[in-house]
Amino acid sequence: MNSLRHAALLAASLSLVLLGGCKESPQVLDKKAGEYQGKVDTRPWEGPAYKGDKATWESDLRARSGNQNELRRMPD
Amino acid sequence: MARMKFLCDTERCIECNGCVTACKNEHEVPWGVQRRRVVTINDGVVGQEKSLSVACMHCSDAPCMAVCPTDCFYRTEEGVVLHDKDVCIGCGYCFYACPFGAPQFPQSGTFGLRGKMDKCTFCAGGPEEDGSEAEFEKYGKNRLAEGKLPLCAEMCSTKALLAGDAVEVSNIFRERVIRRGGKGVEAIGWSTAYGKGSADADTRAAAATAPVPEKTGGAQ
Repeated sequence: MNSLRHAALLAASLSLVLLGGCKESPQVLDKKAGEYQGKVDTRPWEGPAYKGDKATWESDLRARSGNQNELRRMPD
Repeated sequence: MARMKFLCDTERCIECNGCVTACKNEHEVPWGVQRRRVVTINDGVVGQEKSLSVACMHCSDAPCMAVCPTDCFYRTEEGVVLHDKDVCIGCGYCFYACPFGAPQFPQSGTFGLRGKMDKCTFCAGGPEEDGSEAEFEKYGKNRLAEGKLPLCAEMCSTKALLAGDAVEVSNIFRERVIRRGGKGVEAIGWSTAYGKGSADADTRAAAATAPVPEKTGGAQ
């Protein structure tokens, strides 16, 4: 009698465990299709080199871009 | 500052592979991954053979961005298309979508296990702290944050490969074409990459960029 009760208890708990496997919990908390899901990036001029000075960063980049034109570096 | 763009002048490219070597060395790109490569079209056809340096063109309306199932791509305010490797699942959809074959997948192990996607970052690093070890490990060097242009273009001996602000790059190319009497068709891939814009792209750029955070420490 006692062993029968144990077996019934075991079967009931096992069925609960098996049913628990049917539940699907969401793995992504806030996924919106078409929206960037990664970490936020900083802007290039916000790094240690420019410390938020966008104007200097832009002028430095413009100068570098201009240096690619060897025609302007040569005398006419 | 407008959009950052690449332009390869096929009239000048001599297939020296200096850009490829510079990129590999600067970012310590793993074996088997080619962020940039030089391809030859019309190979063997006399007078029509052209070489051009190809990498991610950071398209205005990037197809990789559209097909990514995990939405790991974002576009910066400067028009550079980057991705978060922590979100990438290495599915390879972007590789099939890209017209330039830019996305690369490191392979390892006996069965060639495919890793997370790797591609040209326009030397702009990724979504990690600028200049940090983590950024270098995942995405390579962040030259843009140092006020420098991509090394492939700066290293180019014939200045066939140009990089930088779209207006500056276009002006340089226009001046060349006028001087040599060309037609401007030498910039292969330019219209494919930048032919059309996208309003959605600008929305993503705004979403992916942080509101000016405080930075502490770090070397100059």
